[in-house]
Amino acid sequence: MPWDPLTDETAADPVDGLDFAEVAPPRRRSVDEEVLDHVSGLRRYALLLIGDPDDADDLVQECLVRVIAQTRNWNGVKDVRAYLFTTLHNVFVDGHRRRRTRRTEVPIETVIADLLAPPRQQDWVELRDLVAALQLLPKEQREVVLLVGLEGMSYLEAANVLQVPVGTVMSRLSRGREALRRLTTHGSTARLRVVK
Amino acid sequence: MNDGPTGRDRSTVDEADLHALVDGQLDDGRKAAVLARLLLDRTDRERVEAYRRHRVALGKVRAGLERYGEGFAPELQRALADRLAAARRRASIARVAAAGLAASLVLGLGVATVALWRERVQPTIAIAYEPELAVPEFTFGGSFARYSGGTLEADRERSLAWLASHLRGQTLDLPDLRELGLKPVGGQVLDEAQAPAVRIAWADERGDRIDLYIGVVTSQGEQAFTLAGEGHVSLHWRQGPLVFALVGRTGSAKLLKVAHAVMHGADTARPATAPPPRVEPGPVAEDARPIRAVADPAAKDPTAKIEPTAPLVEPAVAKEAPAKPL
Repeated sequence: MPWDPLTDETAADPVDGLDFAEVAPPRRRSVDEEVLDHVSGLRRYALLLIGDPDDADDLVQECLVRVIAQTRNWNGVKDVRAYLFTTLHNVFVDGHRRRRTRRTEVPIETVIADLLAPPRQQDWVELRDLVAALQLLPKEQREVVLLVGLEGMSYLEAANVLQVPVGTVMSRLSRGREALRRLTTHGSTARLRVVK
Repeated sequence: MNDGPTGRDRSTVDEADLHALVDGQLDDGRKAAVLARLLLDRTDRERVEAYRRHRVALGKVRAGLERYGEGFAPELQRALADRLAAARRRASIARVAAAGLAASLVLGLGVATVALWRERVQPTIAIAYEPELAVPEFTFGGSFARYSGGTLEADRERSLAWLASHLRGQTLDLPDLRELGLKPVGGQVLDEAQAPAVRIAWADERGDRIDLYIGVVTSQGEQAFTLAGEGHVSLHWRQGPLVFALVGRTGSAKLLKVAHAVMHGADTARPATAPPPRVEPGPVAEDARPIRAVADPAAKDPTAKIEPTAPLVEPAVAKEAPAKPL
């Protein structure tokens, strides 16, 4: 049965165990929880962006150090997530040339599989192929695919993070997704060269 | 999505439209055009299905790594949290001080007390209801609507009683929308509406809100609503003495599901304290599909005014230049 976006509800995560008494008035997240959310987002984005857990953690750590040490006007930080992701992007771009190409001996898809709860076999195959194929995309396309698809950013948010026009985000997304589709459809990610 | 930032031609469906459909960033009019194209073009349909599968797969990765930051660089996380908390404390103090000073200058101690009360008592409501969605004009007062506090209770009987107390004795079962990813936020009374009316709000995990306006009308021939707003999808209908308006920044499909759930709850609408009288059918049959309207057809992007991360940061009183990322 073809997918019907009008009836698809996969994006909506049911919230269990809530009733009016628990959510009215809505509980405000603590700053600690908010920071944990942001750091989790930075870390998983960096992991899939770089493909190496150690390099990814280095990148996130460098980003956090830069933000903490150099931000002077905290009241001017209107959108913390965007601010952090933009800084991460800048750190990534700054360090891209000098970053050593230390490749982990464990493939990224295996790392992801270890981190996630055991998925169903079919899910696992799809996840593995997708994660492997992601690493074959040019980094500009990979960034957009991940910001939009993994982190759920709007095109405008992604454009702000990457400091490019929205149209550029859309075209990179289009090319990136189509490349992913071809790579996973033909099931030959391992034989394909990385296009940088 | 609109053609503003990119200057794209909207007369044809292009690649970007297919991706925007997958990402839920198409307005309803555009979505209809893209879906029509997909009905005719099997190749595109298969591509879109593949894009969507990948998005779902990435969603699973995200869900699995939801707390991936736990235990990572704890001293840095602590330092970041401290700085954010300190900045918000400063902003909060500045707000209170500014409110107190302005109030005492203009209206004296009484107004200052109100300002402090609002500051202390209503912050969650203020955040939850910003930015304001479109407000139906007729019956509900439009942009002149004023709300008074009042939080719905979890207990069904008490919520029935609350509704009855503000809707001339009429009441209904509010639907449980958790399966649609919507959590109840609360309820408020519309003080200056043209008829007894309340607003009930739900919000999804991103904080995007759906508002349900419920009012009581007496005239059978009364046109239930007209709408003023800016691009929000809205649904309007009438069931017996109750009129409803749903307004939200969400797809029409989801809003329809909410509407049906509300209709089902309103099937039991009845005076709370008297035996249920025979309810005269309203101009819209109970099983009728609600009339769908887009508040402002000229507004091509209903999501354009969303400040998706606004709840993350408390508004500062003083205009500050946005911090430039490092």
